[in-house]
Amino acid sequence: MNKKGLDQGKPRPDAKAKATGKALYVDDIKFPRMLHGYIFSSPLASAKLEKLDIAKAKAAPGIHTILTADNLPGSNRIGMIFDDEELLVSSRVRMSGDRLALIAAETQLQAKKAAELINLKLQETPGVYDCREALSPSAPQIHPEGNVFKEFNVRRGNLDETVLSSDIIIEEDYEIGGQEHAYLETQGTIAVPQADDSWHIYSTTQCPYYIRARVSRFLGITQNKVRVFQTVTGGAFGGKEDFPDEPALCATALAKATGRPVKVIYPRKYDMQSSTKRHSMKIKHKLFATKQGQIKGVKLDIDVDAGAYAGLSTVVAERANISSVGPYDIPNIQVKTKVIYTNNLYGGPYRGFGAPQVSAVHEAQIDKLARTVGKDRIEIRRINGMSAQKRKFASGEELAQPHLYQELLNKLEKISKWRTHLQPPSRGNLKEGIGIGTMIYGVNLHWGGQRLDRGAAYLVLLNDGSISLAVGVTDMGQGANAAMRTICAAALGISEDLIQISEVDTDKVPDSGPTVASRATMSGGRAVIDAVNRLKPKLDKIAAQMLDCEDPGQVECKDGIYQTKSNQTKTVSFEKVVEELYLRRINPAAIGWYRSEPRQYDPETGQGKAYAFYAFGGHVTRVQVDTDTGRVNVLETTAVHDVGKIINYQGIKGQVHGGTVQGLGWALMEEFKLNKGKMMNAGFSDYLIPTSMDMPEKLNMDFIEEPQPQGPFGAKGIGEPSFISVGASVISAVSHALNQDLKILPLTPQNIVESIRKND
Amino acid sequence: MIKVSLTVNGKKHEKETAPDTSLLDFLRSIGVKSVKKGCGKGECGACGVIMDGVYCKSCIVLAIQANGTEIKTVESLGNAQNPHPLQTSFVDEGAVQCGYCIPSMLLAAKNMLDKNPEPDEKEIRKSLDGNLCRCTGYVKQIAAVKKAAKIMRENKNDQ
Ligand code: FES
Ligand code: FES
Repeated sequence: MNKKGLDQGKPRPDAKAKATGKALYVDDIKFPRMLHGYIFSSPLASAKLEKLDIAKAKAAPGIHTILTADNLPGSNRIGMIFDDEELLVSSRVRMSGDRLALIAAETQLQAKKAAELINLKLQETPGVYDCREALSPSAPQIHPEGNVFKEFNVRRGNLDETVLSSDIIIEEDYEIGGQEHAYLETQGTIAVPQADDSWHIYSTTQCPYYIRARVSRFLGITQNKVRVFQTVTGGAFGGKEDFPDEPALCATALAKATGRPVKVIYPRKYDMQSSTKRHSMKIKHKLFATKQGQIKGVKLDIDVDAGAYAGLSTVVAERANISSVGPYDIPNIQVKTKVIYTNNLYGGPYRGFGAPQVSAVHEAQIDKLARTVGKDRIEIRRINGMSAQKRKFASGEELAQPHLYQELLNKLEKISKWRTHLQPPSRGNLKEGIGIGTMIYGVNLHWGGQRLDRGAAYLVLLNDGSISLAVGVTDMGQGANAAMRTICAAALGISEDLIQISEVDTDKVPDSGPTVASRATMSGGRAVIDAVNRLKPKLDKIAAQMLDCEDPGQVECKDGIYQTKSNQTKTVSFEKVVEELYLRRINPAAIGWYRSEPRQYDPETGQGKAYAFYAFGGHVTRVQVDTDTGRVNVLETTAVHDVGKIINYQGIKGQVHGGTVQGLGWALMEEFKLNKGKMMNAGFSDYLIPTSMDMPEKLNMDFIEEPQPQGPFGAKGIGEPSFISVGASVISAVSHALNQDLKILPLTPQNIVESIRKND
Repeated sequence: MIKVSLTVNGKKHEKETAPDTSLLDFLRSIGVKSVKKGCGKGECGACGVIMDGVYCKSCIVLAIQANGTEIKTVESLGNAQNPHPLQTSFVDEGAVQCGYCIPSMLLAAKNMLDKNPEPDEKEIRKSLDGNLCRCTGYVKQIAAVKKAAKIMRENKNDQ
């Protein structure tokens, strides 16, 4: 097995510029005559707008315009899937942070000072801040459609009979918390009106094509009038999927009104208090099994707190719904997922897309089953998990590589030295524990989003043999561009140094859908390979002629040198072949395209083909819990991932490190303090994310590389899998340490102390 | 408005600014863009500079307090042609992902290494404690500092 990956061991293409301070993020860019935008927002989450008097503010120094719902130069109704949001509130506030007015000024400070002069009167109205309470018929209705705005199901087999004949029933109610993305660079956009009535939008984003579509809709112009440049993006993790559209629309509105470039940068506090979050979920799980520990059925009720606007919550819930059974082949399944409006901050995509929450639950339940029937926690997973014999995912489809789950368990057990830690030492109030979490991840978009499952790459051979590559998937910091460069170089047989790739410009490549769902490597990579496949035969043909070889099939390019397979003494360089291509005036450019195979799926039953293919992953975590303070110290983690094929070894390690530590943050320290829907701890001194002192001493990792035929060079995807099962492994470890079942995330000191007290 | 004059990486700058302007905003207003804003409240560590030899978060220093000082930013370490060992090891070790935290983190590490050329892992972790990074899990950054420290010691011995 090649442990080093497909890459050539070079640092990623953007690292040097970033390490020397030369990389330009959106706030580092400026334009002549540029104004600064500011968002004036609601401090309340549920209120009637009674008065919004901007007269005084308008007269303040440096103010160019103030926009409200009354004078917005574009369509005020916005939304990703449902148009349930207003860019500027016209009468009813549904969420704290809802925008009331937009200000453009010479400086940021002037805009902020003017905002203080706005005369605002809000009449607070009764809100609902708990997704289960929102189900009650007497709860305030957030939107006319009712609070449950979407449901998803999985129905397989017959749960009634299972219930009757089961020896063991385990029923629990779980409360899984949300999470703030906490990308280090906040949201921001610059909108620049052009002389020909077109627009340039600069944005920190993972989905520039979303912005293009929404800005054009907002202004009522065609999409070819909007060109979006993704700026170097300072982290995203899902938080820059749909949300950047909002700053983009704000900047565009102000630029339209003033005719000048406008920059909108979110201050950290407002970013935290208004942007989308990982969904909190309440999940009831009922598991039916035999005395031997064989699971016969599961019943789940998943209540997803979507917050005040739909955003992409339905898409997240769709993944939670189908992933909730986990990597187990269970014959009888009944899952109902409700997506529920409340007056909380609205949920959105976040690394794992609903899967981490359900993974925490299905794993806690199977742990409990292990304890109930007296089996080891890995053993119980072996019995119920996917294998060569047990091949069926929750959707009823047979997986192509179900045996990899067993390999995953073997690796996790071995690398973590699982058995040696099962009877950990306990010294007074310090208790050690080891835990496991596993997961199954459908790579790419769910059936429900398959229309977006496409990707494009534009490859140009320049006449000096260098290559200009543009791909429609974004590098948001995760290293997608490095992966694209590696794939392109490997497919052509040349040095990575010959390839130039940078952030997305929507005018360069067709709409490639969103860069989400760990699909960058897959969809971008396949598009790159397709582009190469369109050019390579031409090059091979020329090379064959230059090498006096009759059959182009007999030549190959390795390390930038063409030779024939039989006669290796004669060579011609890649550069020379490209030069010849130009001399013959043959088209040196190609657009590569990828789309996933169309799939069939029944949303009523959740049966069919949900995803293009699947990846397994798992974590083992060792902890030490202080039972007095409730503080958890993570001693060691072990991550194993089924990745098909490693493209960039350094990149994949970085994803696993980052995903693990971010997962530990979610599981142990990151907690929202919400007061009537308003985030009270919006800032890094109160909303704590892991620092270098919090990370475990040891992070082990290993990969399973069995190529997946649909992926580029067999690769799958790693961005989200790296995170998903961390939370589950932490619950498992803390439960083991305390010898009790925990049913809540995050396991903050307070939650742990409370659980211990309740258990006594 | 008040006049603030200071030196950034050896170059003198002078500009009128509002008295409550932070050093961070001041630096960015004179075109020093490698100093990043992640919070503006002293909580994230993205805005670090070395002021008269002391590493500090420039968002919680007033520009006027920095009057007459000598500021060093990541550009003072090195550039693409002639990088500092810390920059080289961050790049080679894969310690850079989105990069937003990096310029400041490099300065924090440099500051520590100036005082403690042979830090152990704990000391490295401690020196980066005030620099949040959401992407990397810190693993490679700690490794990169370790590696740079070694290179710097060797370079010194060679001299
Ligand atoms: S911007 Fe200075 S510490 Fe965050
Ligand atoms: S590399 Fe992204 S925050 Fe550190």
